[in-house]
Amino acid sequence: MTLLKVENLSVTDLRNGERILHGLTFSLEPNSCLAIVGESGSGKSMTCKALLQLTNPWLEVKGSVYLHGKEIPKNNPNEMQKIRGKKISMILQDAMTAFDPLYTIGYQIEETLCTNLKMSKKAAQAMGIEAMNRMGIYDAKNVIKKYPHQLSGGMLQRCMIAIAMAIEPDIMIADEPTTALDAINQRDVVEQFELLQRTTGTAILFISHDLGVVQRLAQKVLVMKEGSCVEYGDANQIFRRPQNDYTRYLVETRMALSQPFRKIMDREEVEVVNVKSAECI
Amino acid sequence: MRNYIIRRILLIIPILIGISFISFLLINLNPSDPAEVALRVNEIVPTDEAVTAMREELGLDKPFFQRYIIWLGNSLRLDFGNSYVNNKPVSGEILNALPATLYLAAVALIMTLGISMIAGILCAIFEDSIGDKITRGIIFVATAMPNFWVGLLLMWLFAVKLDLFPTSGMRGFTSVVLPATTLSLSYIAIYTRLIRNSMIQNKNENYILYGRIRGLGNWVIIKHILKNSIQSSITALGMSIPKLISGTVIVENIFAWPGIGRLCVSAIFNRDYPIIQAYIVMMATLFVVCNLLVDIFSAFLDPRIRRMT
Repeated sequence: MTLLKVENLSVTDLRNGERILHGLTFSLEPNSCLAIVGESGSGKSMTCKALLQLTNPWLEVKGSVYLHGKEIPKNNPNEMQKIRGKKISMILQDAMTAFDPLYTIGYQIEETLCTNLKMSKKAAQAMGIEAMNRMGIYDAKNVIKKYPHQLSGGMLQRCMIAIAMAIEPDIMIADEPTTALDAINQRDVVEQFELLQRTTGTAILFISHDLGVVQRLAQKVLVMKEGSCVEYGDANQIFRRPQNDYTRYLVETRMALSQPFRKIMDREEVEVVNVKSAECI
Repeated sequence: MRNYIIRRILLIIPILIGISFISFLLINLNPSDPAEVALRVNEIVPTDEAVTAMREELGLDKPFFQRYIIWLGNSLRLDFGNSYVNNKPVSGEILNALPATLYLAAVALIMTLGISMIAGILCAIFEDSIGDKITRGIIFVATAMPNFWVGLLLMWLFAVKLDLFPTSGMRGFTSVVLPATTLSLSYIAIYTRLIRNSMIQNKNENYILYGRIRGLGNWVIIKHILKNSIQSSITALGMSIPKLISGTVIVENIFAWPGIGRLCVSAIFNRDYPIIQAYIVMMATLFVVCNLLVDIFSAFLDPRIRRMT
């Protein structure tokens, strides 16, 4: 059964009547990864926010979203709040401002796990530390005592992923999780996503403009431009034989740009084709 | 944190010395001769001999800096000299009048905090609702009205027309309602707007979006917004305490409230310099100390301030 089905998702700005999303339709199977790609301002993040019903009040969202075959009701904040976090988790792009500056990371992790998994504070803390260890944060006991401003963007990003992973949601939305990271951190994060998918079967909705990462993770790709879908289909298909002109343009330019990342991902390979890829950059 | 507090306390010493010097200087720049004034208020003809004798008695024949040092030393022991009018110690006069002012200011502060917090939070939660719009209208009007006028209006309506509260004096609890309302009205307006705007600003921050994404309940979200908003309003709220206490000057005179504000105004009319000087130093000290407490409290709330200092 399809895990998530989105039909005709449109967003209109009620203040000036401008349409931001034009009837998006896509679906996400269990244990798979769908990537949404497109340039900045193409409506990728807006799609996620609309899915989670977190758009600003002046934006009107139309269309249907089905989770496990059941339509998510609109205008039912309580129902939606139960879905957010527990069934659909999301990782934000801007980790530096994503945590409340006045509470420690540990408190915010605990708070999230307690709310979503109905567990005691102690159990939540242990679980948080374990999830952070899995994310490669080995001094998690110290990190949980820190305030957001005392940690780096990469560290906060990992904490955010650790939270999402601990909850083991049905769907994880990752909104450009690798943009703020350097190439080595990017590799770690991408590997974590692969691990998560392998071990828990969580479906991933991966938003990115980094086609290198997308090619590695995604089975299906949705290409967006100016709020509409220009191409939607199998990832291999899209990367090998893009049907749309815009997709072709994206694939050609962006593949060259994501070379450094791929170099790190395929270290052994790089040794051999080092000279060649250097020319590409 | 402890180092921060110690450093801040040490820093207020030069500020207090500066304040005492300026207030002493200002009074001494006054064109009328204190000795002559002291004689006049006691209805003694200021002959040359009498003035000289009085100057000696008040220590006015000594050089300026020597007088300042003596006065400062005495002030540190809370000895502000004697009133020119009734020759009683100034500190005693102030201590007698202080409870009334503190009582008035405390009631006004409770009203300010209670009403502005509730109104501000409700306005932010129900942003752009009819209630929010009406409240903003009231805020606009209330900020614009000077409090001597508000006092007279309230007195006219509630004391004269409706006869609900006494017009003046300090007799029983009902008598504090009108002066406290007058005193707190503009502060209520300012802080309601401050809390409302700060909450609305925080509501749109990224960490609140992420909080919702994490599936936190509405109350938890409001708690996060509130703590961050209080954090940014705490300086203004804390500084309202000295402002309320010193702001009683006008209100106390309108409502014949026997506090230090009225004591100070009558001292000004009588040119009773020791009381005026003591009042200025006391109020300035109050401001400095409250400012310090607010800073320490916000450092306690916000880990980022601790790091910056």
